Amino acid sequence: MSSREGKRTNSSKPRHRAFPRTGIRWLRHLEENWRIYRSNPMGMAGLVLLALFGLMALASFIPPLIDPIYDPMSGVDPIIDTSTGPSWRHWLGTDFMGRDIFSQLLTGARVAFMIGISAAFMAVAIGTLVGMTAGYFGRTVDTLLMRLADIIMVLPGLLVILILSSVVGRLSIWNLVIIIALFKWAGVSRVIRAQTLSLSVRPYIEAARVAGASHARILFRHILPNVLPLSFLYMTFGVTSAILIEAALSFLGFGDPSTVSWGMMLQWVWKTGHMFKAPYWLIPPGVCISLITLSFYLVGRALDEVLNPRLRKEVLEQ
Amino acid sequence: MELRDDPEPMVVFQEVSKVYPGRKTLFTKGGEDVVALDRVSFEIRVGEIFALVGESGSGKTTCGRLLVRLEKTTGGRILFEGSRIDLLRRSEMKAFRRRVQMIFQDPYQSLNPQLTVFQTVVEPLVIHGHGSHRQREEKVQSVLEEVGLKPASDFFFRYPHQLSGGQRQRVAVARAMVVEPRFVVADEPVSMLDASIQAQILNMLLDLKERYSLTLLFITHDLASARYVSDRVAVIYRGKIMEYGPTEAVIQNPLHPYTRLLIRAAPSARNRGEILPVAACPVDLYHAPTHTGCRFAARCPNCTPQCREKEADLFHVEAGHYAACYLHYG
Repeated sequence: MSSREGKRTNSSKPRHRAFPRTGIRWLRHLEENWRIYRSNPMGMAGLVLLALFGLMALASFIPPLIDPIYDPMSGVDPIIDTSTGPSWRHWLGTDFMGRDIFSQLLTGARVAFMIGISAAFMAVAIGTLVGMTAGYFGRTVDTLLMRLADIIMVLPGLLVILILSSVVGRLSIWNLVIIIALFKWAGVSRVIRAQTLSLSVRPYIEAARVAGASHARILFRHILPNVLPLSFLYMTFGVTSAILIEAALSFLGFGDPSTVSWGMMLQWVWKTGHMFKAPYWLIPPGVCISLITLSFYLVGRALDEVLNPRLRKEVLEQ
Repeated sequence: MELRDDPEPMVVFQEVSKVYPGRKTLFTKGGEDVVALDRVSFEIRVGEIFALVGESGSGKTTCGRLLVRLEKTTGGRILFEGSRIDLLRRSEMKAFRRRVQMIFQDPYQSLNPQLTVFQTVVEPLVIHGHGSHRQREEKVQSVLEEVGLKPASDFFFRYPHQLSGGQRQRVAVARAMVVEPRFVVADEPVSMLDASIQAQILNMLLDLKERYSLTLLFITHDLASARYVSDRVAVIYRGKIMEYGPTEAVIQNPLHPYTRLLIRAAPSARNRGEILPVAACPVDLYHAPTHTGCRFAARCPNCTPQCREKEADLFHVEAGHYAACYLHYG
């Protein structure tokens, strides 16, 4: 064990004994948790990557301001009408009709964040509500909601979305987000239900019942704050899958043609036959999709460790 | 058998039973039913402290939970101020929730870790729509000071994890008292606390009882604290009341062999680690006895063949003092 690790273990031992950990303290003891988070190199790597993508998303507003030819969607360079390699004028080259790939890549980051976060947020909101309701009321409500969740979990989401979009025609980006959320809440609801089951028999919930609290009051005042950290954790995982689904759909040609996303860029590479001719066009969006999902996943895993002391190595070693 | 010797008791238990059904699924036949309470009858008079004493698993906590309607009875009825609590209408239920409060055993579990002391104590007032915001604040302040958290404003914005065990239990008591209930169920309110704090909390409860002219159901496994606070006591064993009467009479002159055993088992200066031959006998407390005889027969030093055949009912032995044992029949 390195000296740094040794020091960390010593300083954290007494704290673990002093406070039995629950999910709740995560918000209150940000500093302590930041210390745990920081000790996870993978989590830090994820956070750095995420910050880079955040910068890219912010920077995506700049190129069109410099010159309209850098507009990712409509900016066609007047002197270029085919795909060209990297140059000073176009850092990553241009696509088949002379649009700037670098500015498309930046915009793709913004779109990925938008889709990922909004779909994950909706999925987690639905999942948390359903999970809390199922866990708290139990019996028939629980059975109905959980069987519904089971049905959704066993549906092949991508396939259903493909069929839907071929039936309805092209889906706009926000419809996609909604559909992704409708497929992703089920997993969250299971976890939140389990947490609610254990919370709803705690004496402080019974104390609230004896005081005359309504079901809504117990759910939102007493249970919700205690499951929120967990919901937030699942949101980071949800972002990953939402981005992947959108990329896959766009690549397969079912994306929103008026949006520049990384999946859409790959679709253009493929459709115009540049797959093996223009690596400068193919590789950047591919790598970006991999890295952004990786970074959300790493952050999620590190947060999981903060929330769930059983995953922490130093505790197991004691 | 007539147990009613007070014309208008506050709480009446009439042959109350609680059976937890064994879990049955599609593929298993299901476990045995667990009988937590078996036709329990007693009454609590206005203004008294009634203690319910028993070992763990005896059903004493179940009594309290049934009484505050955290659970439903499976037989018999419970009357509060003359009306059946299982038949209350919505508006009556709300009034019931205001008049009956409960103090829980474990102050580390009974306070929501996410809420401050003020938020916890004010909640019942908010639920019952008492007063304006200002008035609620004043009420919370005065209640906190009554339970010994002074100055109250120092505690308003603290979280449970910033309080000691005794302070937490005081907050729990304040939450129960803030709506000025008529009746409080105290479920082992001091068993999780240090011995030095137990007496303080008990004295505080006695003070509050005087000030608010409360009636209390005091649930405990500790005869000494029952004797300290209560006017009358019922001794419960495996879901059945074995002995029932004025506290001093029960302690000074225990009629049932089980009560005698409990008193002898209590630690005292005289009794230093004496091993009781019957107390140590392992008994399955969670399942109904399969035979028909007295449920204490297996541990009883005075067991007779009659005891093994049929269980004795509660029997009036002397002024207000009942026992369920053939030793005192006739």
